[in-house]
Order: sequence, then structure tokens, then C-alpha cells
Amino acid sequence: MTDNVWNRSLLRPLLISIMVTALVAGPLAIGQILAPQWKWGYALALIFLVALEAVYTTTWLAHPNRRQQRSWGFRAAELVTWLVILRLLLWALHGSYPSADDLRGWFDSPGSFFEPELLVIGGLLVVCWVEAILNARDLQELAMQPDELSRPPPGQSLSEWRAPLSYTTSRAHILQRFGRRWMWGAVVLLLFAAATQLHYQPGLGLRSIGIAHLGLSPLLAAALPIYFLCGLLLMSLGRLAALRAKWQIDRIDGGETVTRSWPRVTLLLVLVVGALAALMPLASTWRLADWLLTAIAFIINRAIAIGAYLIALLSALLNWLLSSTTPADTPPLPAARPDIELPPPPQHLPSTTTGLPDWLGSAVLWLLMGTIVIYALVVYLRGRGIRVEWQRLRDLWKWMRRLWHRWRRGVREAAQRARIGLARRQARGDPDPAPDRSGWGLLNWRRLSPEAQIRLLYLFALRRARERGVHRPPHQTPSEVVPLLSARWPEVGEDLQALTQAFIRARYGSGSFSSGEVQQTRQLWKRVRSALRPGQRSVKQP
Amino acid sequence: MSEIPILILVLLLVAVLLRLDIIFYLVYVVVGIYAFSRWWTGRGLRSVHVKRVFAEHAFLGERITVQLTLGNTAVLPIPWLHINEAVPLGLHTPGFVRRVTSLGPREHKRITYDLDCRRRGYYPIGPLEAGSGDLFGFAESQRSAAGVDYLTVYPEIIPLTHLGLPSKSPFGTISSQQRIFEDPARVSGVRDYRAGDSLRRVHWKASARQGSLLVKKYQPAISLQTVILLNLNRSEYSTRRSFDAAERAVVVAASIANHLVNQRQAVGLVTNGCQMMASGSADDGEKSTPTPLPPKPGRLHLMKVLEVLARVQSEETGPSPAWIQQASLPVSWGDTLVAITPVGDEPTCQALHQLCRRGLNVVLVVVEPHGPFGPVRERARRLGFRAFEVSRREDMNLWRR
Repeated sequence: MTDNVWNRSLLRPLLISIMVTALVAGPLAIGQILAPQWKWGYALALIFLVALEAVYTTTWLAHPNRRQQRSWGFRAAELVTWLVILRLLLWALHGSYPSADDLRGWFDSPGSFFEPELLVIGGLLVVCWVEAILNARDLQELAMQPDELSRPPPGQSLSEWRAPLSYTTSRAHILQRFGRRWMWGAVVLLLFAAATQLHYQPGLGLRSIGIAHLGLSPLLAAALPIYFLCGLLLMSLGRLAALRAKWQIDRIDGGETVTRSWPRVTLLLVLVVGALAALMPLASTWRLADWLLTAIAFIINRAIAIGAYLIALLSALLNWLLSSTTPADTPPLPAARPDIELPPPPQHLPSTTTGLPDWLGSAVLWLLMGTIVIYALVVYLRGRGIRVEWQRLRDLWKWMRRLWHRWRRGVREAAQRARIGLARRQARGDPDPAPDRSGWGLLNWRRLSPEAQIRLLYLFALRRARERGVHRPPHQTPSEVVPLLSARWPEVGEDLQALTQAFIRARYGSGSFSSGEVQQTRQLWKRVRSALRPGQRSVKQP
Repeated sequence: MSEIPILILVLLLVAVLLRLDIIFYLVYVVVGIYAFSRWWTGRGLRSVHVKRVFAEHAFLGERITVQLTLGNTAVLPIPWLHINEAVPLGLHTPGFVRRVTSLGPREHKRITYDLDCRRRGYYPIGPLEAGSGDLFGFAESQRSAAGVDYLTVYPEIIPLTHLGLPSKSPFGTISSQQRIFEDPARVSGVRDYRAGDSLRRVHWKASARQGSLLVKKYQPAISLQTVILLNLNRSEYSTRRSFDAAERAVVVAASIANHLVNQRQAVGLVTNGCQMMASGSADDGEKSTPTPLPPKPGRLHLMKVLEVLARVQSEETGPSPAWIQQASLPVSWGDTLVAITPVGDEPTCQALHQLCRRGLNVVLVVVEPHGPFGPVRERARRLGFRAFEVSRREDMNLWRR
């Protein structure tokens, strides 16, 4: 007695075959890129047929009557048959049937028989065949086994009779094994999808993946969702098989109603979730890359600001220490921190989109991604017996806040001490220290982003102007300051204008700067610096 | 499938790095299915409500149908629902009822099973444990969906025709041979007047028609107000046959009560056994001594007596002579007291003799005599009351002729 309902199902072999074919579509897509001259069109159909045959044979061999045929020899013969078919198919496709010379050549050097195309496609075929067998075997083991389906002999009641079987089949374990294989297959397929993003150009080698590189091979674009869909459906079917067997062994009635409605409910769930997922924000629709770059630039800018602040603080401390230990005639150290005031933003900012704000979609997307990451971590940790409790999170948050407050208080006290030191020194009549450039000099210029470099160049220009007596009133925008500076230094008026425009673009615009533009801005700054250098001629203000 | 979070993280990483819409879509699909499966498994089970309907009282030998109504109050379906109802082994083999079903949105399904009332008792039905899970094996959940209900199976009642219980209460409904208990409401005929007859007894109409004085003849009748004392002190029953003997004592008590109520007599019940009280679970039912039921007539009262007899079990209590004295205190003079005890030893008989001296009509029914019953009968006769032996079911035929 066998589980005919399960064994005669057409859906399961079909799903396994499609899933395995979708998995092999990953290396096929890579092969299409690397060897476009080969014929690849037939490979997918051939692999599907191989998978279907492997699944069918595995199911066929599961019947108790075919116990004798379940041997490695039988399966090896099956595989060799497929490889021979592939060999013949390749000859037929290329129209190059072997001649007598070819036969002699193969005899002399057997390696020449195995063309690269045969090896690659054959390797994929073997992988597909093995994968199909493993998946089919797992799902076959989930079916009810003949000893589980056996009935009591005539004259013996069901309640008194126990079947002579040992309950060694752990269907949960089998299902987990199948799910794990499906999952790692998905990871491999994803890696192949990632690999197709590598730009290969002969002579240039492999170029690294770029965040703005879009596009996926149509084969992989179809294979990915098909693989996931088939896997989920098969897992659902496996789950049903495991439950059916459990109910059968425990002699629980009513499983037929569940079996009837199961595929309908599964399909409904997958379709509904799939439809809802289609409504969610996706990467290309919400300019993810732009916001990613903006986020990176923001982080770098913040890091620069904090670094500059720390350097200035250290300088001030050093200055205070030296002033307290050196004689009075020792030349004073430069000031602690350059007093740079950011100009107010321009009144009319360039708008990148109309309707919804740009940040909305990305915010939603990142919020969702963050939620998913946190959810996955929580589930994973909970599965390992680690429970994330709110109380612990609150304690962690309090600890971090305490740490932050302590650090801030320390910085404030250090700054206070530095100010007191400066005030004492001024009270002693020490000359005003020269403007500090050492802090900026300590910065690693090459590590800054292009935008940060341009903003710093503009701020340097303003500081030079202030040293030369041209102060920017706080209410004036950068555009309003330019005429003031041009009037004082007319020989670099155009350079100042260009530098200001670059600053506005870097500070308030959404565009990015290339390295060439940064170099150009540095040239502008050098000209402006030479014009604003002390001792240079300038037009006196009326 | 504890590795699914890893898959989600890998998918997310690849999606963010490659900025591929299709992988973002897959992230949403996998996360959606995984999160929904885990969320709905627990929540869905909480929306399952179970109602159990059955006749809470049954007579021995009846078959009771229990109907379970499973309802899903949510708008989402329950893909599979496994129920496991605990039932007493005395009523159903095996001691559980298991079913699997699926419930659509707002769907109700009925599941029925039968209980064979093969033994008297007070049986807990339930609790019902419900289990469910998702479609992919990500999560499973279990909860107790219905509490415990109780089924009372009344003891066996053997129909009796006559008991021959003594009584000293006049103005009853049972005919008697003792003329002293003549009932003026039950006129049975007339006779000639004799000297000494009260003028109140003269039947004037018949005398006028006859032309000579005739007096009414009254039918003697007694009232058999009875209290049954059921001794279920386990220590007095033999270890080997204590269960059967105690059950027989209960059957005798139920049969006598039924017979007397059919005779429109008042019956009361006092026992020193214990009874199981209803509680929320099947395991921790509390035990208590049943409240004495004072003698009352009527079917309704009989059902109360039978309910106590259905629940009562033998229990280790104090010595029965002391208990008999104490339990018979509320019994009125002239009432009949049927003491059903395992043995008719000397202390028990002496205690019953004291009751006889108090004016009660005592009858002793011994259900498990450890020796020959003759000496017991003789001892009882000597002490002024009758004794019966019911050590077998056939012994009750004495009251069925």
C-alpha cells in the first residue's frame, strides 16, 4: 500500500523541476555573459527535462516493488544517458558530427572529446540532476510510508492493533532539511544575480559593482521570483505532507477537509502577499542611491565637524599649557578654533521633484528595511533562546545617554578651562594670537568628500577676507556677500563668484561633484588666496 | 526554519547593495509571508471559540451525544486546527477525542461524538486543547480553547414493588394492616353501629336509607417518611470488594428512594461519603461531604437525591456508630430510617437500637456481610429492628415480588 494521493500528484514534480531549473538559471546567465558565442537557448529546456525526469524517477523508485532497482548503478546509468544525449545534442546543434579524423584525434588525446561547452553544460546538468533528486527524495520521504498505511488483519479491530513500524521518520527534520537547501539555493542564486552586475569588458578585467548599476538579465529576473515562489509552495506542500502523516499515525479524523483547502489557502496567501509587496516602495522608484550618497556625505560632514572641533579643542588646551609654562616673551600659539559662521541658506532652493517630497519615499523604504532587519534579528535571537526585553533595551538606552552626557560635560569643562586660560592671557596683555591654520592643516584633505572640500575652500576664503577687514554681516547670504568681496578685490571677482556658486551647490544643492570639479575649485581658491594674502594690494572701501 | 531570518538579511543586503527592484520585491514577499505566518498563528487561535453542548444528566446505559461547535470569529481563515478533547475513560475509549479541521473566515463547524454512560458518576468533559500552525512550518501554537463541563450519570435504579418498611406515622397514603392508623379521609365502607362507636363515625345518609344506624369503616394508612442513611466509610468495606459493595449500596439507596417517591412518600438522604465538586479543570476537583437532604416528596426531590447518589464516593471517615447517632438527630419521631451499611456488627446494631428507642422505625440493609447473615438478622430482631442482606444483586428480588 502506498500513498497514492501524494505519489500521483503532478504539481509537486512540476514545482521541483521548475525550482531546480530556476536555480541553474543563475550560472546560465553568467555563462551567457562570459561566453556569448555559445548556444544557450536549448540549455534551459534540457535542464528542465532532466530535472523532471530525475524527480519522476525518484518517485517511481520509491514504490516498494522497485526496491531492487534503487541502486547507485541505476542512477549512474540514468545520468550517463543524459550526458550522451547532451553530447549528441551539441553535435546536432553545431552541425559538426564527428569524422574519422575526429575519432582518431579523440583516441590520441581523449581530452579533446570534452569541449568546454560540453563540460560547462554537462556540469550544470549534473548539478540540476542531483539537486532535483535530493529535493524529490526529501519530499518523497514526507509522504506516508507503506508501513504507516498498513491496516490491521481481518478480525482485528483498529484500536487493538498497532502497526509493526518504528517511528524513526522525523518529518520536521526532513522539512527543515528541504527548507535549508532551498534557502541556501536562494543565496547562491542571489550571488549569481550579484555577479551579473559586474561589468566585464575584455582587456579591462572585472570592474567592481557600482551602486548605480541597474539592470538584471531577464533570465535571472524571471528565475528569482520563480525560484522563491516554487520553494514556498513546495514547503507548504511538505508541511501538509508532514501533518497528514502525523494525523494518519495518530489516527485523527478530518484531515481530508484540510487537505482539500490547503493549496487554495496557500496560493491565496502567496498571491495576496505578492500583491501587497508590489505596492511597497522599491529602490529605483525612490532614488535610493541618491539618498544613500547623501546619507554618507552627511555622516562624513558630521565626522569632519566633530574632528575639527576636537582638534581645535586640543589646540586650545595645548596653547593654554604652553602659555602657562613658557616666558611672557614667547610668541603665543594660534587661536583654538576658527570662528567660521555658515552663511544663511539661499532663499530659492532648487527643487528636485514635484508633488511628494523626495525624502518621503526613501524614509518609508528605510523605515521598512530597518523594521525588517530588527524583526529578523529579534526572531533569530529568540530562536536561539535569547529574548530581547524592553527593560534591557531601556537600560541600554539609559546607559548610552549617561555616557553621552558625561562626554559632553567633559568637553564643556575643557572648553571652559580653555576660555578661562585665554581670558587670563589677554588680561596679562598678551598679543592677539594669529589665526589658527594648524587645525585645518591637520585634516586629511583627501578623505573629505568633494562637497566638504568645496565648502571648506569657501570658508577659508571668508576667513581670509575677515583677516583683511572685510566682515560678512550675519544677515547676508553668500550671493549678497560676493559683490562686497568683488568690490574689494576686483581682480578675482569672477573667481569669487564661481567659488560662491560652487559653495551654494555643495551646501544646498543635491548634485554631486566630480574630482575634476573639485580640482577646478581648488584652482579658484588658490587664485583667491593669493589675492587675499596680507600685503597684496586691494581696493579700499569707501 | 530558524534560518529564514538569515535569508532575509542576505536578501536585504543584496537588495541594498545592488539596488535591484526584484530583490526588494522578494524581500517583501518573504518577510510578508514569514511575519504573517508567525503573527497569525497565535492570533488566529485566539479567535477560535469552542462551545460544548450536551445533556448534563444521564441515566445509566444512555448514550449522550456531545456537540462541539468550533467558530472562527476572525476574517482570516484558520488553515488547520487540531483539537484534543479529554474525556473520561469510563465513558469513552480512548480517553480523548481528536479531530482536525480547517475553518474559513467567520465559519462555524460542528463536531459530534458519543459518550456511553456505563457507570454512575460525575465526569469532567474537557478541557479542549486546540493547536494550529501556519502553512509553511514557521510557527505552531496551542491553547486551551474550552474549559471543563461535567456530566452526571445517575446510578442504576432497580424497580421495587414493595418494601414492607415499618412506620408509626398516621395519615399517610400507604395502606396498613394496623387499625390504629385508620384514616378518616379514606372511607372503605359501612358496618352496623355498635355500642361505643363515636357518633362522628355514623354515616347518616346510609343510615337513613337503610333505616338502621350504620357507621363508616376507615382504611388504615400510614405515612412512610423515610431517611436513608448511606454508610460509605471505606474502612468498613473489605479491600477486595469495596468498590462493588459501595456501588451496590448506592444502587440500593437509589432504588429505595425511587420506590418511595413513586409511592408519594417523602425521602431524605444522609451519607458520610464524599462527592466531587465542579471546578475549572479536570484534575483539581474539590471533595466535600454532601449536605443531608431532609425528607421531601416529589420527583424533583428525587432527582436531587439521585444527583447526590451519582456523585458520592466512598471515603475514609470516622466510625459509623457515632456517625449514625449524629446523622439521625434531625429525624423526627415515627419516621423510618433505612440504614445501608457494609456490615451489621454489634456496635452498628447497638447504635440503631438507640434510634429504635428514640421512636424511629429502623431497617438495616447490609451489603457486605463478612460472615453468615443469620446472627446479624437475629441480633437485629433482638434489638427491635429488621435486617436485610443485599450482598448480591439478586437479593433485591425480595422487594420485587
